[in-house]
Amino acid sequence: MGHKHAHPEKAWQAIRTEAIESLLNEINVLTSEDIDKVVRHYEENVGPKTGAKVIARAWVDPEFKKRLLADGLAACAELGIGGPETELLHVVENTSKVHNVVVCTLCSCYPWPILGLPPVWYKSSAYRSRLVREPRKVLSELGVELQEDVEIRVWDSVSEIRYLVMPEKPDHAENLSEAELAELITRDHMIGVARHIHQAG
Amino acid sequence: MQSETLSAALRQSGFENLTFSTPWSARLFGMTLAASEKGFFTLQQFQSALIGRISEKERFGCINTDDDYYTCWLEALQGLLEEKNLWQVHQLREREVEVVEAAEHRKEYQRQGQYTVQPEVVK
Repeated sequence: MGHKHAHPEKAWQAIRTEAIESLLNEINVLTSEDIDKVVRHYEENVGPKTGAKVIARAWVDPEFKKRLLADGLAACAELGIGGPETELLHVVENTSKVHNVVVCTLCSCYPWPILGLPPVWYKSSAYRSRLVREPRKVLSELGVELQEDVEIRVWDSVSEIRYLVMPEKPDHAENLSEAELAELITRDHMIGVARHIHQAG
Repeated sequence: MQSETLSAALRQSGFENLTFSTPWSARLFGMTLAASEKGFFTLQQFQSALIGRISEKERFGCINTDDDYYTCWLEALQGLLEEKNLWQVHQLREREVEVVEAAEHRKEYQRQGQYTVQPEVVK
């Protein structure tokens, strides 16, 4: 405080990132517009709503569901969803006796094109190390209480294979349209840290 | 690793809904995808580099925040780009100094009241 040459207020990571971007610009490797385009796409177009659409379609269309479970990426491509970031998308289905939950123990692999960017806690050491060791406890801490006879399957994402959880379709949802169903599905359902689908009203 | 950590993190809903928690992490993410689209490296190569940085970091501590995580990301990207010899080490250091100076300069300029806050046109 008070000295003339104040310490830079920017984080060193911000400074280095800006310096790298500036060098890349200068040597004509990347323009700032190239970078803007990617960031804008992820901030505005991609998010968990995309995944919710896929799941809702599977709930109302049994043939689509079969294709989705057989080859996730191909089925998503039918809906115009996809991207270069994933090689294989494996959709895992919850049932009354099985609960699926996704983690990436090594880093933070996540189905970006379908769920957007992962939440902060997904990348934390705590989630990544504990979910595999004590899934029932971690899930219960996150509010998912499972009966003893429900099997938990923990899926460890790697860069070639990403997982997406298909929650169980809620009972008494016959009157809901595909779009209304999609509204009920959250990111946490598709990671598997939420189970019950809450219906409004 | 207390049991509260996870639930607490989940409850931070303001944080939750942000795509990027800092502007630099957004730039970093954008640069990585753009550079891989241009063929400088594959996303698999980036992923391996990131895994390397994260496991290095976790030998001594934990990743608790987005900053921890994107710091690993930054080091991974920097490593991959430097392998391509796109610049000399001293160039990056000099550029960092320039970035800091430019930010200081902008602040000084603002302090001196060189920017006027008024609408360009009023009709």
